[in-house]
Amino acid sequence: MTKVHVVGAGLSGLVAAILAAERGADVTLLARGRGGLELSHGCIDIWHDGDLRQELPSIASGHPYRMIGVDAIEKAVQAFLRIVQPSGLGYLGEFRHPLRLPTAVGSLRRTNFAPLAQVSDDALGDLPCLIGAIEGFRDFFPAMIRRNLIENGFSVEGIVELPLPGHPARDVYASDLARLLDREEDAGNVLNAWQRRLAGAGALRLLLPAVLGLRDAGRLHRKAETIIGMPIQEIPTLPPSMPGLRLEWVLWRAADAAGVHLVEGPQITSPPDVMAGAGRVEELMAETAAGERRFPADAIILATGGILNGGLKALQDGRVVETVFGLPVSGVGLRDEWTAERMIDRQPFERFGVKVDAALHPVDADGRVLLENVHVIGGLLGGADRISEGSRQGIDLGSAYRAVEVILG
Amino acid sequence: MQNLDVDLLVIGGGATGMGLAWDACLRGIPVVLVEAQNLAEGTSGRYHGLLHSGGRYVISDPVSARDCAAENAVLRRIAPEAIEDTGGLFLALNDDPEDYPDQWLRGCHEAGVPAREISLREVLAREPLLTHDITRAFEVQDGALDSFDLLHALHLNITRLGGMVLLGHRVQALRREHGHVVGAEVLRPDDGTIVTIHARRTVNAAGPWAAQVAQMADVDIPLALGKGTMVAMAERLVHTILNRCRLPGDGDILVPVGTVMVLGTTDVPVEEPGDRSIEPWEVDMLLAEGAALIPSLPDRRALRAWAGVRPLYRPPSDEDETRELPRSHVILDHAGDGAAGLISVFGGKLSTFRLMAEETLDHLALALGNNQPCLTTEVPLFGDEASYYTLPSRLRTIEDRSDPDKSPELVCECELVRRADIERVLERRGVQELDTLRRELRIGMGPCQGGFCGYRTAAIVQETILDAPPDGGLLSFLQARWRGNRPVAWGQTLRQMAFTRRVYMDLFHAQDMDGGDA
Repeated sequence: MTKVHVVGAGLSGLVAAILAAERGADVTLLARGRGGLELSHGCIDIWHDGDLRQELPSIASGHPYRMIGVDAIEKAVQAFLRIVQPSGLGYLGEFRHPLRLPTAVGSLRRTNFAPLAQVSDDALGDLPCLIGAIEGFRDFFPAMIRRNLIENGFSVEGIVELPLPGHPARDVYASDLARLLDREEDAGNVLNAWQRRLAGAGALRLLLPAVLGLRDAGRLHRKAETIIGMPIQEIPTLPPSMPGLRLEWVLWRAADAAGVHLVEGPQITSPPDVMAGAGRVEELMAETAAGERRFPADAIILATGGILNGGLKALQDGRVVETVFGLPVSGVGLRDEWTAERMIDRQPFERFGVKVDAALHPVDADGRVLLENVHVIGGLLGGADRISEGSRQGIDLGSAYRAVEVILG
Repeated sequence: MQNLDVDLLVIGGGATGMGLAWDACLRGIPVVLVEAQNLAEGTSGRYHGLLHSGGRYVISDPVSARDCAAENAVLRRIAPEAIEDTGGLFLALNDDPEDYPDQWLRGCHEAGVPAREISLREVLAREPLLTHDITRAFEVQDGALDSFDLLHALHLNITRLGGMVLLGHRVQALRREHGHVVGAEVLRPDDGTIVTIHARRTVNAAGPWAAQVAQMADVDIPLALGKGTMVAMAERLVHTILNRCRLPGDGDILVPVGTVMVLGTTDVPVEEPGDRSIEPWEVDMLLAEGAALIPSLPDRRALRAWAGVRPLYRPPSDEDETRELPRSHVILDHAGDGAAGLISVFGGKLSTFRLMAEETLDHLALALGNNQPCLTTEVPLFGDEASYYTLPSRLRTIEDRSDPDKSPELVCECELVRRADIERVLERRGVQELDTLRRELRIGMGPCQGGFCGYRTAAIVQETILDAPPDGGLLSFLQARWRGNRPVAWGQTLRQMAFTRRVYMDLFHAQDMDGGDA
């Protein structure tokens, strides 16, 4: 049985672990902390501008998509949809025509696949809607959303204040509301109070912050629509982002069901001989509370993320370090050129990452494979402008799928 | 077209100009002040926050030291709410010149700067993060002075006393009649309004822009510009202001301000008053110098960097360097330069702004037929009940809230700003720039740098102010934070910058929003 270690428990690490376990590998998922899903809208961005299959040849050669290939990306998304299918989150969408979904400032965000709760049947926004302001919840501002959605051509009837029976006398986050609504009795009280408030409102759908539950959100969304009597469209707001955490929960359960072993908390390091150019990693080392542990492995999938999620560390002295194996990081240049002058422009630091070959092996500047049983996936891959391309989850899923395919055939 | 007729026109809405207008009001002199941008937009708003005890200058510039010591006592009396009474320490380290501390202590006594030697044990008990390489330590009366609070208080007092402050009004030309300067033409670029101000005397307090103003009357002034860069650390690592006990140099001041700690400063000669560029070596040097006092500094997070431009007086003989130039102020009456009626005042420190105003008006008052004494040493700026600002005061307000069943509606967790605080400022000032809220409330200045509070604040502005842009000012606010983060964009700060983009561009797709004129 092939021993596969996956380092990192964000979207790409979790999906890689599940896929590898499903194909019969003995998989251990090493998670230092929470993955990046806490910051995620829960949607799958693949390519915002046109058909990726047609665009691919014009994408720069260092881009991860050129290594992963469109077939792997499409298969990866199919696999993802299959994995999340039992959850009831009900992902909708397609590869070639992005959805346009309202955001918490009232602009429209493009994505390829989204959970049902975020998608309206009415993509143009013609159906008159109400925006719900939930009592005591400060991370959602209906007036701003209304103004900008109207500028984007939405038909907004108005804003409705929704009571929150039993809400605590402190500032609540999206996660507090979601946990409250996860409790059957509280959800019933809240939804019934909303139904009374909305009776006879005349609108054809309700926009709400994405707070309808965490653990069984698909079911709660359907229940809420039934009680209230109109479609509900959820909008992700400030982190902790519920749609991302729902997805994380679903993937954790799927990993568990597939037999993935989970080791939480350790900082993974490489044995000293790796840096001496061994060309192969026989085992990983981990600092745990009980002391040093070793994890012998046939193959290793490195899914530790980029700058934001800790797979890369940028230092004052101008170096950018890959935190597990010290792999070379491409695209670094001078420290004062890491960022662009304007926040909204493309940022050089977001292209930092490890260069790989078509099997996702880490390679050096000349393209030579550095570690033959290590595969790099997700946010650690360099060369992409994930935000402006709208490619983040496509890279995460596609590289996860591709790595498992290479390791297990 | 609008006409104003006053005795005194003050150009520049920094501490010096606002101090002048306040002093004039208290003496009963009709005054109008024009400021091209916003209060404290120049040097006053871009400094390290140090209310000098005077200790820093006792050897290099005893005049300035004496002024600082006297003004320190006055400001503590009249403006305690803008001051945090941190106290200060002068620390000599192992490699510093051995004879300097005794020489320095004598200088303190001569300049009237209260200073007292304390034991190393006491220093380390008070400041556990300090290096153990200290050889001698002295306690002084430094404080942290919030220039935004100070200028807002001056603004309120000036307006209350009938003075006029015109923000966003740029001087186009000085009005001249028969070799006299008799006021100015000012333009409000926002709407093209032109205001003609007739004034019997005009004071040029434009700070680094003072040479440009004087030039409008064909007068050259000996102004040198010294840019100083500062770095804010994300934590308040010390309780007390720390100075090196040696001749003033780069990177030898550490100032705890609110929730952060500021490392200051460099001194680089520049040509342009608006040159606030920051070089990587400046930031690296400040952090390295800071680490001499706090060895764990390299492991701490640098939050942002900014630069201010000092308007310094250059005596005729001096060459290029600005570090050696005196920090004391000068008042130049341009009567002898063919521009009677125009006075330039520059140099000095934020700590001595009041004295600069007093001396300038003492010089002018007689010509204006006014013989009232200066009152600014005695009139409190914040009312009679004011007390020093302390860090826990906001937490106390939140915990003491009258209705415990109501949530505090915190908008900014880092700086503990409530929705009610924002609404109060919006109501009083009718502003819509988030930057004004930042100056008044410190919103967005903590570790998250607007990552969370930016959305909340912009949305509240958008809800409250009728003609706010669709983004509520969000994009320009985030951009201003971004600019300050860039010079220290590594480690946790680079992660936080990536976080901000993730939230606002990935989750919210705010990049396409209409940010109004910004």
